[in-house]
Amino acid sequence: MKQKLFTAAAFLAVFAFLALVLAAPLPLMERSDEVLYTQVMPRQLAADGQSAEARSIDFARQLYDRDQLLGIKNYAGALLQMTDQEALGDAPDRLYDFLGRMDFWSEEEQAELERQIANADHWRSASDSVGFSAWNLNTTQDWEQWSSLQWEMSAEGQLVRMLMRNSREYTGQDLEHLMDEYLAVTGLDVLDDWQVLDVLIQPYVTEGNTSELRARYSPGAKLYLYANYVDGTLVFGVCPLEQEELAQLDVSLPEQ
Amino acid sequence: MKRNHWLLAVALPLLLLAGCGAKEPDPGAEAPTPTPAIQIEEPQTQVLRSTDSHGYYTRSAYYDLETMTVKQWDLKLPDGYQMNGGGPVSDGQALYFVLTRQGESANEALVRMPLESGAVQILYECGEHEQIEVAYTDGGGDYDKRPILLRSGERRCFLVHRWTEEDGNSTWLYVWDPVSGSCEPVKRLGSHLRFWGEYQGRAVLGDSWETEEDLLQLDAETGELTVLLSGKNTEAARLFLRPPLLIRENFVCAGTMSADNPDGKERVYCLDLKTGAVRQLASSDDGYLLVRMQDIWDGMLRVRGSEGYESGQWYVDCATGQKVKGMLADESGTPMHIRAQLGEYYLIDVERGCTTDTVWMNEVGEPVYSRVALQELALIAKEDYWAGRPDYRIFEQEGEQAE
Repeated sequence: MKQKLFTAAAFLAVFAFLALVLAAPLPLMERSDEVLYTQVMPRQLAADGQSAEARSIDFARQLYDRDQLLGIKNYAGALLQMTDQEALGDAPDRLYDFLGRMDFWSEEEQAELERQIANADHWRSASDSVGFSAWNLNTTQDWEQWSSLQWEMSAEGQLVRMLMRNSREYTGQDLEHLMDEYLAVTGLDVLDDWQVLDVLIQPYVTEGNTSELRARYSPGAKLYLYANYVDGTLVFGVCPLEQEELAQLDVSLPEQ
Repeated sequence: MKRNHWLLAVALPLLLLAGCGAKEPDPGAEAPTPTPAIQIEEPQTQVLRSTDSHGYYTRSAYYDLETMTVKQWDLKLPDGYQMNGGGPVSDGQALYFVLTRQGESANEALVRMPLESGAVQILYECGEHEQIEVAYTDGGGDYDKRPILLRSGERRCFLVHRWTEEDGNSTWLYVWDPVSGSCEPVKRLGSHLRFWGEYQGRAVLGDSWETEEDLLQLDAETGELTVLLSGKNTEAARLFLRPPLLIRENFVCAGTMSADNPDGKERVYCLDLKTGAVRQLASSDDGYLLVRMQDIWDGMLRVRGSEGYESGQWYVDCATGQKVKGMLADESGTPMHIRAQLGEYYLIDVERGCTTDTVWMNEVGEPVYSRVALQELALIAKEDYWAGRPDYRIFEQEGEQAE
């Protein structure tokens, strides 16, 4: 009997040991993503990826590394891991902080944004393994239509993308101003190779509404900056994109 | 004896763990049994399809049945024109495409490309406020609409929708005569007539705005319209004269939306034109709020149900109303997608087990990446498909066989 107990105990011990050894790398792998991302990657890629100037800007480097080395392609928040349980927490405050630094957002717009967040009936958040997080809130407008309020931020509180229904109409000039302010706040204005793109696509709009699309591209940083007002929705953000991919979007760099 | 227990204690967990990582047998890894040579009879239908006795045609590729290879198109389009979203239809001698011109109000043209010469010839250029009627006649779905082309002996007929301030909307039957080369409107068929499918080889048209109008059958030889389903039939009018409709073989299927029903449920009904029997084939009670019909293959209706992020697909037998079991499905249980049929064979999409990233602009002009599972087209005998046997042959890229 003692021998049987001993055998069972040995069996369990070996099994537990093997399970521990094999399962341990799982949480470690998640942590190693962050280590790789924050410590190792900044020293790589300077030669074959972005320009040295772009590598010197944290936000530009993080966007590019996340895309190139981790393969996280979430430009519209689509491929992040959805996490229903995550609390909204200080997410709105981080957003307000960022927008408050832009000389663009009026008090009325800020109030409208706060109203939409406060009245959100349903929301989802998502995050990746290197600290970027996205939020998607379903809000009800005054005219009782459902609409989405979405934004994504980096771990350091830089706004990556935002989408909002807005009763105010934006002109092309407004969007250019918005992009200038966005570059200034994120520090991406240091890049001196931003070029204005021709956006050829014409999105569908309902009768009486308008659409304005503006975009810029930095070949050195391989970053695509856009600000659009389409059918009552304002959306702007930045994402890494290879120059060859611009053609797929039906946008083009001006001829030299 | 003690040593044996130790050995057992170490070896068993190892074996267990090794077993966890063992690869499951891959059903696709087995070499499929070669399909016998295919014999396809000339179709009796007036409605041209994406297939003929030579192969299957998409907007960018040709799948050759004789060699089981796929060849990419390199079409020389007329200046200023580009291919629209859909593919061509074939009459065995030539392909017929709809082309579009960017940035012009009159921007569509119907063109013909003889299979032998490959020279593209414009048959009809739309004027302002005109459009060539397209529909999905095979299983390509909404993204694979093709021109409605009908045989009338050697002549070819097509439908043009026109709208003017004086006459309002009208749907016209046009005929192209290969002998004289003329292309003329021959008959005004109705106001908003739309192609919903075919019955007994003839196109079935219904008014997409006036839902109580009759369902009509068009004979392209004579241009005659006959009533297939009268709007005076109250049950027919209630269930089967409101779009969307799907008409294949002897079945008329119609879906009712949640907003149409007081209980907020969606339903799909089917009318058997041979027997007159009416059946409910699917509803929100099947597990999904939204229930939509996709296509009918040999009397089996493919249904797609969705609710939020969840969705599922299944087949229902139109003759019995029973769910079909045992057909060829992927790992998640979704029936393999049928694109078209060729005699006793289906063309199906088979996943290659790898993905590709593409970037595109969404409706608000944002760049979005999609990770798409790459697929290949394969040929399978119908009986193998319904029996769930993965006994298909994949079309090889041209030149691969020689390697």
